[in-house]
Amino acid sequence: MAGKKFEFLNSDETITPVLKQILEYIKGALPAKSNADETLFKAKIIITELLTNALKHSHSKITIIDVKITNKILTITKTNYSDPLALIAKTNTTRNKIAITKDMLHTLYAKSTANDQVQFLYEEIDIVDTSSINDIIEHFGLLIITKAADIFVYTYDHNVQSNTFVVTIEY
Amino acid sequence: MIKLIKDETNHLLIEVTASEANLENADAFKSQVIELLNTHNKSLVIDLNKVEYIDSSFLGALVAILKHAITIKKEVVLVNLKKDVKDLLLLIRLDKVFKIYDNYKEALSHL
Repeated sequence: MAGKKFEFLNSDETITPVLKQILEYIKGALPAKSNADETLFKAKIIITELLTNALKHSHSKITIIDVKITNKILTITKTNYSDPLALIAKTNTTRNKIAITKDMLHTLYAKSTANDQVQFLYEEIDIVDTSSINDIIEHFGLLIITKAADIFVYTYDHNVQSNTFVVTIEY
Repeated sequence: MIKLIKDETNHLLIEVTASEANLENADAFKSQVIELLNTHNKSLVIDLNKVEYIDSSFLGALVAILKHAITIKKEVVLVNLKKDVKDLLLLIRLDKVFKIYDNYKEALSHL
């Protein structure tokens, strides 16, 4: 198994350089016979959204991206240190699947998988008419990651106050 | 960020000049395009030929522009999308709400 950690300093101008470093690493570490183009496309959009999300919503100065590659699975883990996502309080109470966003195209859910842990899931909605275009969401980050990933899980650790997002891509 | 290429009777053709359409320029793009829509009151063809990559912030700006155009009964059409850009729009099904054409000439026949 190959693996490497990357530091992101939570600033606009470092998104592209860090993204390029990580993608170069993944490109070099993927097995030769893998479906590299599709995997790299998924990795690119997922890492971009993880970094953008850190920039917009995290109050910590640094975000760690940890990449691990086996012969079948690419795992991208983002960790930073700040308050938990608000949805954790809801899923800890209901222990069920809650809708985070819903529009004419998708419903995005957070499903409780353990205390302080959720898995993101989505459903595509049959479009019967386009009259509700005005209801379409304008924040696509979590949806993009959820749809590009095979598994996308978020965990909050109260002991160290860490937010961990784990994205798994099978290739 | 944007360049006005053509000002026709029923539409404007604009080009996005940035290669990375992302968080850094999404808000400026949205403001500039909405101002164009308000000023000209015409449908809009957005040429994305220079855009190598687009992120969720810029997609949000595009959707906000589309909603604004709908309120003034105008259209927003996207042309010349590179593969990664088109694949991302397809992934989140925005092809169901935007008119997308391979090039400007093809878009013209639908405006």
